[in-house]
Amino acid sequence: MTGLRPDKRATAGIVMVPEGRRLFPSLTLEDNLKVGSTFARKGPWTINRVYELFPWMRERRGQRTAQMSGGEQQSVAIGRALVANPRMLLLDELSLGLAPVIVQRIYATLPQVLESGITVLLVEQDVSQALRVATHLQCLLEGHVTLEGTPAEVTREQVEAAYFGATDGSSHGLG
Amino acid sequence: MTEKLAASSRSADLTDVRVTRSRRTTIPSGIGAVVLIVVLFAFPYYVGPGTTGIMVQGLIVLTLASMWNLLAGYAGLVSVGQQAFFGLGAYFVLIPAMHGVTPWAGLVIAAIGAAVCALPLWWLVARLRLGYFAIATWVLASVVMLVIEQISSIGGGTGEPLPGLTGLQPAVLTAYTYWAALAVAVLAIGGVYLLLRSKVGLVLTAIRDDERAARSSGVRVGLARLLVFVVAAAGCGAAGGVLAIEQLQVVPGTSGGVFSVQWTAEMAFAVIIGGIGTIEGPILGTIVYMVLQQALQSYNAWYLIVLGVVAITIALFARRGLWGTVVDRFSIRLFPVGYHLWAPGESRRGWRR
Amino acid sequence: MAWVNAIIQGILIGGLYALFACGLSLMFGVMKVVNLAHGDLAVMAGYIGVGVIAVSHMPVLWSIPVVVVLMAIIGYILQRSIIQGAISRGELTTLIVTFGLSIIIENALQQFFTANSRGLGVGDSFITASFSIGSQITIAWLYVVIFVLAVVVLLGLSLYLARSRYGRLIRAVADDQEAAQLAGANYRHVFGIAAAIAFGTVAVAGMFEGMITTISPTLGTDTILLFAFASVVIGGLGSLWGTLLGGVILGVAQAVGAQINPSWEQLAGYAVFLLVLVIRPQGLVGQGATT
Repeated sequence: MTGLRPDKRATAGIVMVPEGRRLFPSLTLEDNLKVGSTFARKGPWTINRVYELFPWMRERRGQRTAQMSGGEQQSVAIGRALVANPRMLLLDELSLGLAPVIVQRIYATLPQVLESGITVLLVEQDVSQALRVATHLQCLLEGHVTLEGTPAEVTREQVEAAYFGATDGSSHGLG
Repeated sequence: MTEKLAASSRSADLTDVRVTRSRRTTIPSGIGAVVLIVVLFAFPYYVGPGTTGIMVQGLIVLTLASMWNLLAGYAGLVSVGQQAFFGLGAYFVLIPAMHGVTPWAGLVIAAIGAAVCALPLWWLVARLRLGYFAIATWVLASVVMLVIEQISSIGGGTGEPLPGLTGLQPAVLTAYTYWAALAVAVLAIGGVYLLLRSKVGLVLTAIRDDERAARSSGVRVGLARLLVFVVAAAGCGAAGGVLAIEQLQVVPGTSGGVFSVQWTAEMAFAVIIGGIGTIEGPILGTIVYMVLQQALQSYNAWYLIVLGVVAITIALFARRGLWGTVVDRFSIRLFPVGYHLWAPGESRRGWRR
Repeated sequence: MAWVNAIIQGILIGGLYALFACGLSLMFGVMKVVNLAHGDLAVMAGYIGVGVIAVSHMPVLWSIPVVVVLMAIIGYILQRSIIQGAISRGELTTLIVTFGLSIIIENALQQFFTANSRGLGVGDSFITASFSIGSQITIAWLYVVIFVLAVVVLLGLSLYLARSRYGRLIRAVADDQEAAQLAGANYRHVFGIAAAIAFGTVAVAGMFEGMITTISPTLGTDTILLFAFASVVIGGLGSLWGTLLGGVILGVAQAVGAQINPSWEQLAGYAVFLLVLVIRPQGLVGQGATT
C-alpha cells in the first residue's frame, strides 16, 4: 500500500480526509462532493445520504466552500471522502482549528459512518474525543508504539504519560 | 534528576579553518584567461576576414549569453524580450552616427542608453511572476520595435545604413570591429564577474537560495533585481551596437532584424546548453552554438531547430548544462565567485574537493 | 461612420482573440504553465489544416474538426511527456521548454512551408460577402460568423468546466492537486485533458485566422501569443468571460488605433494592455498574476 500512488490508493478503498480539510475552494459544496464520487466504489454512501447525515448541507449545496466555516468545511471534507465509499477512512487531525462544540458535533456523526461498515483510522490530538469513539487505540512517539489497548483498558494518565515519552509512569530526563 | 549537556570540547576550533575566494584552479585559469585574451586580440593579424567575421558573431552571442545568464541564472528573471535592448543598442549607435558621432564612441552610448531605457521597462514588469514576466518582456520588445518603426527619420520599418565608417579600409574596419566585439565581450564577462563577487552577488545568491528568507532578513531583493536588469540591458545594448557596426546597417523587424526573438533564442539556448548559473557556462554554450551554426550553415532554420531540441533535452535531463555537469564532477571553477572552505590541515596543493 | 465600422470590427475580432487566449489561460490556471509556444500552436494548426485540405480536398469547414482532434491528441501527448517533465523540474525549466518548443515549431514550419504566408480560403463569395445596417455600416459576414463560433466555443468550454465530470476534475486539480489525488484523480491525466482542450481551442482559432487573413510561421510569436496574453491580462485570469471581454477591448483598441493611424494598430492595443497592467494588474474581471 505504501508504494501506491495516492489516487490509486483512493480507488483501492483507502480514502483520507487530510489535515486542514483541503477542500476545493472555488468549487461549490455539491461539486466538492461530486468530485469525491467521481471514482467511487460501489456502496451505500451517496451524495443524498451525506445530506441526510449533515442536513444543513442540502440548503447550502450551491455555495462555494471557500466561504464556509471551519466546522462546515470539515463536514464537507468527510462527506467528500464518504461518497467514495471507502473500505477504510483515514481522518487526520479532525479537531484542528475547530471549537470544541463543533468538534463534538462532528464526532457525533462518526457512529453512523462506522455502522455502514467503514473502518475508521483516526489520528487525533484531542485525546478525550478520540477515547470516546475509539474501539482500539495506539499511541505513537517518534515512530514507535508506546501504548496499545482499548479505551476500557487504558487510563487517561497512561495515555498522557505515553504521549510525553515516559514509561511506567515514572519520569526520566530526556537524553 | 537532570543531565547536564556536556560541552563539546573539540580541539579543532574554528580558527583552524580558512575561507578564501579562490582555489587551486584559479591562478592557472587566471593566467590562462589573460593569455587567451592576448591570443584573441592578435587574431586579425594572422586570420582571414571570414573567420574574423564569424568570431565577431560569436563574441556578440557570448556577450548576450552572459547577460541572459545573469538574468535567469542568478536573478531568476527569465526574459524573452532582451532583443528590445539589443535593438535599442543598435539604434543608439546609429542615431549619434547620423549626427557625426563615431560609432566606436557610440558603443558606450549604446550601453548607457539601453541601461536608461531599462528603468521604465522594469517599472512596468517588476511585479510580475515568472511566467507572466517572460511574456510581458516579449510584449515590451514588440512595443519598442513598433515605436521605432514609426520613426521614419531613422529608417522606419525598412532600416537605415550606418554612416561614419566609410573612410576605413575593409581590412582595417574588420579588425576594428573585431576588437570592439572582443572588448565588449571581455568587459561584459568581467562586469558580470565583478558584480557577482560584490555584495550584489551575495544578495543574488541569497535570493536564489530562498527568496522569502532573504526578504525577511532585510535584503533589498527588488533593488538587486533592478540592478541586474539594468546591467543586462547595458550589455545587450553594447552587443547590439557591435552588430550595427558589423552589418553597417540597422534593420528592425522580427525576421532577421535586430528585434528578432531569434537573438533571445540564441542567447537562451547557449546559456542552457553551456550551463545556467555559472559564468563559464555561457562561454561553453556559445562555443557549442557556433560549432552547430557553422556545421548546419547551409540548412537555414535547421540550426535553430537542433539548438532548440538540444536545449530542451538538456533542460530536462542535464539541468546544470555541460559546464554544470563538469563542475559537479570535478569541482573546478575558473571564475572564483563562490567561497571555498579549507578544512584544517588542507593545503592548496591537495586534491581535496 | 468609419469609426462605428471600426469599433464593430474590433468587437468581432475580439471574439477570435478570446478564443486564442482561453487555451493560454486554461493551461496557466490548471497547470501553472505559461505556454510560450501557444501562439505557434495556432499557426501549426493552420498549417496542418493546409496539409489536410491539400491531401483530402475537403472543404475548409470540414477540416476544422479534423485539425482540432489532431491537435488535441498532440496536446495530450506533449503534456504528459515533455511538459509534465518540465513542470516537475520547476518553473524555469517549464519556461525554457515551452520557449524551445516555440522556436522549434516556428523554424520547422519555416523549413517546410517557407516564410511566405498562406491563406486557408473559404470561397471568395463568403469572404467578401457583407451586410449593411443603415447606409453607413457594413459588416463582413465572415467576421460575424467567426465571432459567433468563437463565443459558442467559449460557451461550450464554460459549460464543460462547470457541469461535466472532467470539467469538475480540471477545476478541482487547478485548486488543489494533492487533494484531487486523494479523491482518486490522476492529476497527470487531468493535466493532459486540460492541455488537449487548450490545444484544441487554439487550433480552432488558428484555423479561423487562416480563413480571415493569412498565416505565416512567425505569426505565432509576432502577434498571436502577445494578443492572447494581452487579452488575458486585460480581462483577468480565471474567468472565460473576462477573457472574452479582454479580447474585445483589445480588438476595439486596435481598431480605434488603426483609425487614427494605420500603423498604430498594434501599438494602440499594447498601450491599453500596459495601462491595465499598471493600473489594475489583476485585470478587469479576474484575479491576477503579480507576486
